[in-house]
Amino acid sequence: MKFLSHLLKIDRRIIYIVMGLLVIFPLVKPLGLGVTSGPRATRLFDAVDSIPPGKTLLIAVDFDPSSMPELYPMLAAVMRHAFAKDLKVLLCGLWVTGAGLADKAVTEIPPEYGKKYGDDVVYLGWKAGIDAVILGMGENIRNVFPTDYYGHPLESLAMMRDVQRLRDIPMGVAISAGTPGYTDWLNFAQSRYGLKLGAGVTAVSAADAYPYLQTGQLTGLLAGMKGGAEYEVLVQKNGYSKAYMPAVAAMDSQSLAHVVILLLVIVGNVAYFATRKRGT
Amino acid sequence: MKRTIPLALVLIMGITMMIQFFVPHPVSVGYYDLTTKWIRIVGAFALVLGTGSFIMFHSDKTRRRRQGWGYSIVAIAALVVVALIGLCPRIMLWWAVFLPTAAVVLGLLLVLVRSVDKLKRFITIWYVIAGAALLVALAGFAVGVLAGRFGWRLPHELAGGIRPGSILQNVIFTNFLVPLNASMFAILAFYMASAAYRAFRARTREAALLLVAAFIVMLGMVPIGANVPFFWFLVVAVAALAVAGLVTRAKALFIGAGMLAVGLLVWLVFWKFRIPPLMLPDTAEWVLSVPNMAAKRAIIFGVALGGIATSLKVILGIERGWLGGGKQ
Repeated sequence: MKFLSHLLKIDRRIIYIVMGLLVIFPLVKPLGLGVTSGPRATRLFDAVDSIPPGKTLLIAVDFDPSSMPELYPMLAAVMRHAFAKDLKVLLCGLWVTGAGLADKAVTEIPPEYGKKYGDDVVYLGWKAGIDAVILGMGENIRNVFPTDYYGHPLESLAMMRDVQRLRDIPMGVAISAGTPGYTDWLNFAQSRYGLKLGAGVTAVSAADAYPYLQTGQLTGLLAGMKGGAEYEVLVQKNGYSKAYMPAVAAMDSQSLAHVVILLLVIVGNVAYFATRKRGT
Repeated sequence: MKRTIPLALVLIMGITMMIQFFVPHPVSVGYYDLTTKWIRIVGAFALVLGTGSFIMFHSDKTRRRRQGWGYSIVAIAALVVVALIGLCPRIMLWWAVFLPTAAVVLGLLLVLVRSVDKLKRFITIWYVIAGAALLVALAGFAVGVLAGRFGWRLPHELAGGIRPGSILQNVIFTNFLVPLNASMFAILAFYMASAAYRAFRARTREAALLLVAAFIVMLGMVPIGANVPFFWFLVVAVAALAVAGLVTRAKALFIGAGMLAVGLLVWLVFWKFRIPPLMLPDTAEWVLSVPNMAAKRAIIFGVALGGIATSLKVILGIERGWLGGGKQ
């Protein structure tokens, strides 16, 4: 019984060390647990896959570096899929701190497929106003973004000649870490301008997105790092990319982290019941 | 008048925007386009307001030497540096480093002159920081001068073309914001583990239910739980509860194990003593798609109806809290 009492007083530093080691170990030596794609990711993949070549896919980069490990792999995988399918990609963002992340993606991913900025990909940048930005894009993208993130007038970019407003875009994917995010795109871009929409969200906010998925307002959903890993697997399985899959690699760490937390909860509860029974 | 005009404006705008939504006439569309432009302009003013509030708060904190005032200096310096780079797209690299450095050094000297005694502990570290920044600025200056003197061809950014996504902005974003922001979020994993161990107790029936749901979803949503049959998961749970009950002699654990065992037996009978083909991820999916969704949908509807009611009250002037508590 003394042992159980000790269990209730595990030093938090021991917990931190165990957690740290179990997160780092699989990143150094992958366990190869594997990821199978679920129905939500497959629906989004199929929707993007069905867009005719040459059409534009809108990607909203609504996250910041704090959720980068969860959401950036989604952004990269969706972009790779789009380029492999010869789609044009238009990026914009409602989070000012996400501007650098979209810039990173625009700089790194298109060259893998020989795509050129201005012809195949355009990054509009960030503008204040959230809902007003989306509503404005619904009327005329040039009213909201006269120039792109790098200062080029939109008229000078070949890709933007066919894209005047949201109705010219067959589908969007909102990759969101919170508010503003996919709900704003749903409320305004989808309900008002009929933009077909998929979403990628952090694991903690995935539960909020389920009702929109069931009603069909969201075409597909990538939930957390697992969602990103599922999409990466789909993209590779279909031969669209051979790039490193960061989300798949990190899933081993996440698995072990979950197991550690569950074991700690079990230990904590057993010790709690033991000590409560003895009235200590 | 101070209240009547805003109330009238809200009433007119609220009603016209509601009507506009249902009228696809060019006049209506033009009106809508105009108002969305207004919203964006007002949004830009909010940024100015926010920046002003930020500067006032931190300068006041520094002036009054409140706890943690040193961090306020860092916050203001960061604002100045990042804003300068954003506001001066054609600025030379060395100027971008030199100007904020000069501002920090000047501010430091002013503070030192005013209260040397209180700052003795910080003097050394501030000198090191300011000295290092000054050296970088001087190096940048020297490169700029030498490049001009000898006609060196410097990269576009170094020669005077800083643009969004350029070298200096990327340095700040990649080397400051990304690691700081990611570290703050990553620390959560450790706190969550510690908090779950200390606070996640099955003290009540509701807490026990939450615990069970958390176990199913947390294991079911990661690859390690992908091939676990739900039936065997429950069998292990019954065994674990029974063992824990024996060790701790807690009645609640025995009751839990007994109830779960009876449930399993009923399930087996229903499946004619074959193992049900339900996997743990399927169960996690069910938890998310059925009970979770029912609760979420109720919340979403409640919030939406509440939003409509509040909006109507504001438009019709019944709710006037947004006007503030000042006199008429």
